[in-house]
Amino acid sequence: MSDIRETNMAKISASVEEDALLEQEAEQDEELNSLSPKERIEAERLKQAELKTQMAINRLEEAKQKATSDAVKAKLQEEIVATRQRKAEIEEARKTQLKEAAKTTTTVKTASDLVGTGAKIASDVRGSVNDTTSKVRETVGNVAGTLETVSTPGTIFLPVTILLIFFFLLLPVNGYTRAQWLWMSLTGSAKINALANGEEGVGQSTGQGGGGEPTTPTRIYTFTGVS
Amino acid sequence: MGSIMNWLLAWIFMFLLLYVLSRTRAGHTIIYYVSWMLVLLLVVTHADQVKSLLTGGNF
Repeated sequence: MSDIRETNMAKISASVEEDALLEQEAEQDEELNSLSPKERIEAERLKQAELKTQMAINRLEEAKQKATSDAVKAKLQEEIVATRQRKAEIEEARKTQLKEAAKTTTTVKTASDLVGTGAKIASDVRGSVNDTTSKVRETVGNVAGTLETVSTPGTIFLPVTILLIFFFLLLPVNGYTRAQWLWMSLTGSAKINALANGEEGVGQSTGQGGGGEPTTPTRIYTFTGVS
Repeated sequence: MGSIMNWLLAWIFMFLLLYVLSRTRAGHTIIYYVSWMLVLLLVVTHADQVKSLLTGGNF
């Protein structure tokens, strides 16, 4: 009864070990995908060596089971221990190789991610600028289009003419409007003194030309040294 | 000299602006309405002078 129980327990533990081994191999396969071809070959080689060592351990254990002599069993046990140690070393070497390869991959991936992110940001900014430019152009076009549709009764010359009239007849400069100054100049009622060295001069309107001009003296500044 | 240059530059700039605006229909509309607004502004600020001008005062 106890023999059957022991056999069943051995089968269950073997099955559990097998599942764990398969899971580990699946994880390792995923890690291998991120390696370069050279690194992958090296990792496969180490894995094969590890599997061969495991097979050697299994064979030695079977032989130990079948052995009848204690001396043979002890020798086989020594070999099993040495083989297990060798297997542990190979496993360690493979894990180290995978870790270093993962580090390199991470660094390269980070650098390429940064470059990619930079390029993406640049293209986003460019796109935003283009969008803004086109929107501004569209808005200006819309405004210009609206202005073109607004009616302008009469011609443009009417308000411009009125402005010119105001300019000459309404806005005083140094006491007189431009029209008054023009009239006084034409009739000889206004003079501008020619000066040297930027001194102030006095232009006088004598009031003798056309009717009604006042006789208040007015200062007119002339500018000398014009080159 | 300085103020003559400023004055000259201001006039040149104004005529340049008018020229640019006059090239398009929208610019014509702008000049039209801005001119009328200036006329109204001058009439409002110089009301007495406008009145004397129209009634044949000092001219």
